Amino acid sequence: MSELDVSLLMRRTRLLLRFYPPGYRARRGEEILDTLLETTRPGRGWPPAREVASVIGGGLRARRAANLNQGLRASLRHVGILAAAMTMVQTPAALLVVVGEPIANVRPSGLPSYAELGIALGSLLVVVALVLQPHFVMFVLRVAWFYAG
Amino acid sequence: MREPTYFVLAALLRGPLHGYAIMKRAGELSGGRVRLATGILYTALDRLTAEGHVELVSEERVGGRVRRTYGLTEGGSAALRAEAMRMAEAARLVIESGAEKKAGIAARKLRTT
Repeated sequence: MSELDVSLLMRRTRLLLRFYPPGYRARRGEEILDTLLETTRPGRGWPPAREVASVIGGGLRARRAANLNQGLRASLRHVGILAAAMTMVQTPAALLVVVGEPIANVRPSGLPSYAELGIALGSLLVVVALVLQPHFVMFVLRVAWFYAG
Repeated sequence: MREPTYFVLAALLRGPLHGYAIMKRAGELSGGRVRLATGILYTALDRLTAEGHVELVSEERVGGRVRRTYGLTEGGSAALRAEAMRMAEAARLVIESGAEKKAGIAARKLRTT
């Protein structure tokens, strides 16, 4: 195995650790990385699939635990961000519904209007983005880049 | 106590081990039935440490990385022992009644022939 492969494996494994919340990663990250690398046979570019799956599961579990322990103030801030984001997405969508009403009467029955699709898609995006959080969105993009590369 | 937890504790009976060694030992002890993956192992270690069944014994740096060794606490040994006793009781119920049944069948056969 060339040194390039080892460094790629290391980078991918470190990326995988991003599933864990920052505090947890600081405490346990290096240790988990060490164990993950031991489960990987030489010459492989990724740890085994079941190891990857277990780390994703463990990371999300640790995130949930960290979110539950974050205290009232941080929880309220999260709720505030959520509410603001929902409003930001839904206000234009609601406007579209009003404007689109005359057009909606013309559309063939049974098909959803663009406005309805907009609301559904917008809400979905906000929920996904909030669940994942900004760091996590970046992380997903980087994973996609890794797969593409 | 769930089976993976049981075998994680059992893996530490002979002395403290680090993460990967616990995974391997638990696999060996269970005849390959318990195959712990990394994420599951650390979730279990978090919980067992919080419950006071397992504790951090030592911490060393190997090539710039941290390797932590975990050991059974007294509470952990006691919990493992209690679970082993419970399973032994449950096993005896079946194994001994099985032996009686066999004896019963043999006796009936003798009578009919």
